[in-house]
Amino acid sequence: MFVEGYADGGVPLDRVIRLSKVVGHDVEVEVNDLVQGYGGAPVIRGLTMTLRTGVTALLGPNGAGKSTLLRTLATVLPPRSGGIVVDGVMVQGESSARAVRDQIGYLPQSFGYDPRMRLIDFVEYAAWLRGVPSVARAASASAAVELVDLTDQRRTRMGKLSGGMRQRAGIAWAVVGSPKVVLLDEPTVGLDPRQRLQFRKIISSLTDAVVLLSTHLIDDVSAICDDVLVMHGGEVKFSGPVTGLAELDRIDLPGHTPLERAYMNLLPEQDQRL
Amino acid sequence: MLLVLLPADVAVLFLRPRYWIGVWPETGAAAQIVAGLTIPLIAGAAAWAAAASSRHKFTEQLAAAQVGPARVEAQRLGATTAILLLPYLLVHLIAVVLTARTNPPGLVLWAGYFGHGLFLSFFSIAFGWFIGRAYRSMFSTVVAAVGALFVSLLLGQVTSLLLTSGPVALTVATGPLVARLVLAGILLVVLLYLPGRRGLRVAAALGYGAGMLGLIVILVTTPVVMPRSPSTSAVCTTGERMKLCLWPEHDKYRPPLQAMADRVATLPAQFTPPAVVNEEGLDPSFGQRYLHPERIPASEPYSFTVIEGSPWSIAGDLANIVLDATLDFRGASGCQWDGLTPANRSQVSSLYAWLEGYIVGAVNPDYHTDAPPDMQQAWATGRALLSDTRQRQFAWAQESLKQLRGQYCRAAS
Repeated sequence: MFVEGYADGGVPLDRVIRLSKVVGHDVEVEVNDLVQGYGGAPVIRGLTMTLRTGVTALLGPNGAGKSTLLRTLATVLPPRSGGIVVDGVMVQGESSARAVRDQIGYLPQSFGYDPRMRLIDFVEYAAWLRGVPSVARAASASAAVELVDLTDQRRTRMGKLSGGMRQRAGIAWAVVGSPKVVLLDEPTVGLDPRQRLQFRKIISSLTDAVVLLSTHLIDDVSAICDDVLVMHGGEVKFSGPVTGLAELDRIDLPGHTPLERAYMNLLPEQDQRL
Repeated sequence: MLLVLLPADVAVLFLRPRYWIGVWPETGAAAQIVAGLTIPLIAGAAAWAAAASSRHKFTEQLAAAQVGPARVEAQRLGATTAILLLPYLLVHLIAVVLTARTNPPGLVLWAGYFGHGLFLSFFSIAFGWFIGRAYRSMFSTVVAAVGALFVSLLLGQVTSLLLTSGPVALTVATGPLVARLVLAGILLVVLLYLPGRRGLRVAAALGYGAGMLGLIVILVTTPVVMPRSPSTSAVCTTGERMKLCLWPEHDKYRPPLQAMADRVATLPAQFTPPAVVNEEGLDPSFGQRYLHPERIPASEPYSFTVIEGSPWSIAGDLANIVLDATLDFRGASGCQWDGLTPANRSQVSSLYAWLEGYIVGAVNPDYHTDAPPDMQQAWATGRALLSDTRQRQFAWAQESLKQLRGQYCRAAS
């Protein structure tokens, strides 16, 4: 479950990365005063949060910093400042980043694949990249393919899969080897309603991992997420349980559901009207 | 790519003359040629494979991998190298099986050419992979192929980058070959670090440049083909008037050579062939003449060459040798040929052409020439006599010799 998150300046910030031990099977990801960007003004400004086992939605408009946060948590981007702790391992430099990558499953928004690769080979490649031992690789890949209900397509080439199947193949890529942290960047983009329902079923089955799921879709948040993190302009505007977000509902704002209106309530005033 | 390379390589092996079957160095050279001819293809394929991670948008997922970038690259480069080498290995396997059937000597001579082809393949892959990594576009394939073609042609002009034949008198030198293989291997290893962190990438790129420069220096300054030491187990014909000796690796030519020696033995007594003629390279002075062609000796020992297995190449050399010895073209016995008239020059040409055909035992040569028309006419005159009776041929030849010696060897006669 989500512990607490703070907007910038809310809590004294520990700029040194700390180790937090896993309690039982729970996994923690800590982010401390993270500043991140691509050369100009920072895209993320002093973000602090802790994620625990469960599904957390990462909600926000385009440019809010969602993808940047996911890429940083996936250790693809080293932080400009601040730190990350993944399952008790302090991430400080390339060697420590590599040490935790076997525990992180990451699916970028636009993930790559060789269209000639068979699905099972694609997932097995992910297992190899994640450092799954060779004796367990085939079984891990098969388990991941089964989890996303694509066993009957295992020998189909990636280029021949439908969009929805390919997206599920991407999820298999992210979850092969049972990583403790699963980071999914807008995984439901382009999926039809039935495919989204299939996706929700898959995500709901990841009960033992920290899942951070970036999405634009409020329906997905309410359907499968325990907690939600709302970002805007590189800052956290809300963090907490989904029910807590719903309490920020304002009937005078645009939106068809309490969550939609609550989300609008978190935006700057000039963006609250359509 | 295998669907293109495999048939192309096999075609290169078999669409060319197959004289190499049964001779190890020529087998090695023939099979190795495919590596030289497919340099642009292999470089282009390597570039295509190198750019695949960008083309398929894998870079983000690879950046998040627990396996280090050098290991990921090693897997890709290794797989690409293995696939691109397959056709080359297959061609050598076919060539080796065909030659091994007759169990000729000189297997180690094949190995040198095999190694040289490996070097060319590694060089092509290293060249193409770098282009594919540096210029991550679908056009990197074309850039790599065209670039490799240009570089190989340029280097081929000034170095022995491309070996097109495997003369038995020469061998691929171990030291220069190993240097080439080691440098090509270093280039491939350095390529593994191109996807790394920025500092490592820069270092790898600089290392690659230095390695390539070093390789070019080696190519230019160190010839890979060197003369062999003369064989102590040359195989020779038996004959009363002229003994012909071959490298043991060319033993398969002994039967036709024996037939030629036997025909020389039947020539009229006016012909004075040398007692022994060696195949090129069997003479101890060959090595020095090969390495220092600028030092032209006063007279070279007589020798013949077997060019692509052609009996006409042997017969042509023997005809020249027999005429040289008979008419004393070197002036050792006082003949003076400086003032040779056009008519006499034609007469000599006719004699040569007739003698060549007589020695080989055929009328129509297996080669084409761009010799001047008057020379070709003279040759035609000589070859036309080959259809006549032996008595008339000999009578004509003796008369020609008499006329020529009478005019240019008066002091000797």
